[in-house]
Amino acid sequence: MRHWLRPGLLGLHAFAVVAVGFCIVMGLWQLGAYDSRQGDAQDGARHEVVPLADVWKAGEAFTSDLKDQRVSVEGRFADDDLKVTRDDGSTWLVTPFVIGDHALLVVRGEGERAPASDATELDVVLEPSESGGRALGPERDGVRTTDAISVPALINDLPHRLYSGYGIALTDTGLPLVDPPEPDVSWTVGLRNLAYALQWWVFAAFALFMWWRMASENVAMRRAEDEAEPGFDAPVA
Amino acid sequence: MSRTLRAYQVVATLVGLNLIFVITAAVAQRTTDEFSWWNRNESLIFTIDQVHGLLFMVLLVLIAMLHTKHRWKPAFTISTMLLATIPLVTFWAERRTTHAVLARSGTAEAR
Repeated sequence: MRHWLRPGLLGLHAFAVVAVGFCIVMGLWQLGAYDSRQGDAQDGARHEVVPLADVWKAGEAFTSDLKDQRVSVEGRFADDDLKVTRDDGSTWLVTPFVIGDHALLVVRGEGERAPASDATELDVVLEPSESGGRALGPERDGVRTTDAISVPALINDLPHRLYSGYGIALTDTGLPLVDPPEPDVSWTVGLRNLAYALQWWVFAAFALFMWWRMASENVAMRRAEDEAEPGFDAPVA
Repeated sequence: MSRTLRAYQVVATLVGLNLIFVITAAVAQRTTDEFSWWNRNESLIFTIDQVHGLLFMVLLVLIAMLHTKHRWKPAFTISTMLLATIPLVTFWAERRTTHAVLARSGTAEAR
């Protein structure tokens, strides 16, 4: 043990602590940069609103890159209000929004009854049609009920040519808005920073390894010298 | 000349050249507009940066091997590793190492 605490080695120990600490901190800093790039990308996806016609034409299939896309739409609400019961027990109010000769199902918010809305411009988040969904129930108080926003199931019951997805309104039309899902951001956004973080930690591990090797070599050398000192019966190597 | 020393010389020279490119690119990306060559070829430069990181790791391993083989003092080994991170100085550091190794083996042979 006393060999390990020799003054000559203390400098090496101190350097090792600084080097390993520096590499770990740099790695954490790069990891932080990775996280913030991921966050920025998510904010970007959240705020980028484009006109619907720029990304999706009526009658086209819903492609995966349309999911979570923010779009602005111009038109008017039809008066076929739907009540959609959700798995979590809440109820969404969905009204077709007529755009030209097609209509987009728009989740206006949570509620049992739709206040009339004369909104002509909306911002919505596009989502793919849900699966399942039972046939629309009978009209009660001007609202019909189902349990999924399934375009194939609804298309026969509604007097509109529907877009093959639906939108979650970001614009208030008299109901408490539904929170749209968080946009997906690929883990490769900011990959550069993640790669640098990993490299820094490899360097930290290497510094630790080199410290161990240099220090133990040095200690072994001193021990051999001690044993070779006159007055001891040094074993013949 | 040992194979480890030869490998060290080659990798040290590559790392030195690569480092000049990496630093130049990093500065150019921050000082030129987004349509400059440096900013249009961001992914190429990113790849070169990663290659530099890997080559530098190889260099560190080679220095560690030379350290063991020639029983270098920790200060010499550590300074050799640190000098390999400074642009242009890397080339001088490689010469320093080569001279140190050859001088040592030269005296050993003379004995």
